[in-house]
Amino acid sequence: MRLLLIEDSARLRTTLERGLRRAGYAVDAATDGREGLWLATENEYDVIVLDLMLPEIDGLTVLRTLRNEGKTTHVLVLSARDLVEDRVQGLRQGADDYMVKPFSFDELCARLEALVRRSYQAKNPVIQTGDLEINTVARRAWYAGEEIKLTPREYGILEILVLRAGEVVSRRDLWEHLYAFDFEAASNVVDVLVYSLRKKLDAGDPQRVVKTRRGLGYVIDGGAP
Amino acid sequence: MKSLRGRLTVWLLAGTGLLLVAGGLTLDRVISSRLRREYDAALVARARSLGTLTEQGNGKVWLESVDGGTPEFGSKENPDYFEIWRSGGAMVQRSSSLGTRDLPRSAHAAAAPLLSDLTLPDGRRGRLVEISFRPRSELEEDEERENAPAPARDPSADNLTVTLAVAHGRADLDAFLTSVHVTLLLVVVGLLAGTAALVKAAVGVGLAPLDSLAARLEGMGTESLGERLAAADAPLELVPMIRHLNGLLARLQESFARERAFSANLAHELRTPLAELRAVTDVALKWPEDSSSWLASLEEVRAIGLQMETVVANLLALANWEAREPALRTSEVPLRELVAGCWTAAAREAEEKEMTLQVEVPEELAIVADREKLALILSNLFSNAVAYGSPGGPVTCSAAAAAGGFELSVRNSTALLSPEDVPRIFDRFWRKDPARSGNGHTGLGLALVAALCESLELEKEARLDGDRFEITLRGRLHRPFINTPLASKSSSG
Repeated sequence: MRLLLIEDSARLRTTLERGLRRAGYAVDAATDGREGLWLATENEYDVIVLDLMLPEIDGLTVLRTLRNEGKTTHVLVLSARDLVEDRVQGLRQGADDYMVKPFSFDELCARLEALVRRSYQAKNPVIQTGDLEINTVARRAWYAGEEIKLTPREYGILEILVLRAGEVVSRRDLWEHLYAFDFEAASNVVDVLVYSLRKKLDAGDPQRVVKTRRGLGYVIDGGAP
Repeated sequence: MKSLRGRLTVWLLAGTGLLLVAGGLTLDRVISSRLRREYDAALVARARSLGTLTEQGNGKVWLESVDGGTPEFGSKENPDYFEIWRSGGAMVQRSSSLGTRDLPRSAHAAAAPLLSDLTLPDGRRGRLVEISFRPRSELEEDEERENAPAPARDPSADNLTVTLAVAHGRADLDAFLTSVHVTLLLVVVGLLAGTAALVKAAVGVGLAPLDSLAARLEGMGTESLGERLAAADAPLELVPMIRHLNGLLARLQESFARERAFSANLAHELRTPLAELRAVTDVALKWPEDSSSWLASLEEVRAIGLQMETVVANLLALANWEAREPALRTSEVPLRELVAGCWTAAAREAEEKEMTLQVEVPEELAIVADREKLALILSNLFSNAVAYGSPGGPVTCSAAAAAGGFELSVRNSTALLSPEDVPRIFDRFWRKDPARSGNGHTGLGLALVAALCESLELEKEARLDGDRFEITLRGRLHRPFINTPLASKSSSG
């Protein structure tokens, strides 16, 4: 999942960046409102973590501008402002969630996962499609009842395909959900990861679960188990 | 609780009530007195006319006709009465209505009519008039009648004096007086009731602007501190009060805004490092197997702790200086030496920003002050000037003796401030950058300067002239130590 973190406190920003990357997110970080707004406008993110008291352009203006431009990316506001009116204002300006500093990192992760699930209309963290089952909180996957050991990036590929089951997901989309804006990866990294994933899912029939749509991308068939 | 409306109503009602009652009583008295006088005048006239019918002659006195020719004296119902006595007291004649009874007679009857109340022989209340006179003699009457001289007679024989008493029932007078009393009483009561209604309405109309002002004030809360009371349509008496209240509201609004800003800034200053602390520890604990990051996390935790320690120490120092009278340890402080010492702390950051210190302090200028506190003030002023001054620009510190005291200024150029920032520059936690991004400063430096100035009885002033920002301190010199004229000025980098 691709996440944009807009936070001016260097210490908090680097810590969150590190933690969220380890939690499986592709994280882009911005130090002020102007940079954050630019990144959010130019890229597609699954979720944005936004501080309110920012240099250059304050967080509420960033949020308002994004909504005015039609960006529907889920935004979690992370602020030291704890008054009810601050929260109300944040939510009314278009935030999807509001957390007051200091906060629990686990709670932040849980809320971000909920927002990501909401992006794909999935309320249950356990999602099943065919013989495939994933747990978006535990970040684990099972196929025909057997757990499959996946690397974080393999899981990332599988999660986005399961969340968008029945829909062809382009290589570029998959790449964007896996890597941060400034990450330079080899151009065939998505194909390599899909190859590796297929081998772990069903080595006998690589096209059985993750199907290739030539020139378009990859798809996992949707449907009840 | 004292009510303005109640007091006005009571005073107006009591005042007008008293006036009405006094007016009614006076009118009643005047009318009654006039009526009595007229009644008495009629009674006297009647007695005099009866007197004209009285004659004397040859030592005798008589009335020309029985009952004076007036039927009222002989009437059986509600009759009038008269009686005539000689001066010696012998009864001459009485009305037939009296029968054998007498009218009361005063001992000192005189020519002037003597009036009194009495109970008539038939039991009614009545009015009595007594007059003494000399009845005309028969001889005089004949002379008048025939216009001829009377035959010679003894004149003393026709010189008798009689007293005539006439009594008349006063039921009609009393009835009329009662009707006057009742009418006046009703008029006064009616007027009082009307006045009460009028007073109530008048007080209501008069106090309506006050009521509306009270309702407006009652409906105001912290959220409406930005609103102002309208003075345009207010009565003249309320305009000064409204103007004053508007001034108070403005000050209250400013005070609330400062308090809110302080709370929000304090929350930010404390929450941000706490959030950092929590995030650093949470992330480190979530992946405990990653021992390589522990050391970095511990270093982060230490740095955050030190930052929080600075904030808390500054807050405590502020609270201490604001809460109690500080103990001052005064000594002679050579200012130039102090300035050089205080610059040391800011020198490193100043060097990075290529900023230099210009000192314009006379070598010989020394003041008596608490050296430690004065040093804190200067250190904070230098730290502030370096942190927010334009890179490459000088920080100038100048001092001079002024009338009865000294003046010390620190100035620097800055592009960050605007004129509206200046009044808030000494507020606790105030920082120009709303994001309060960390640069090692918490926004307490100048608040500390303000608190220290208070304790050292120094007057402080912040000025922005274009891009030149200057903070000036002025103090009294209890014992000035100025040995030479303040002509020499020098500078150092």
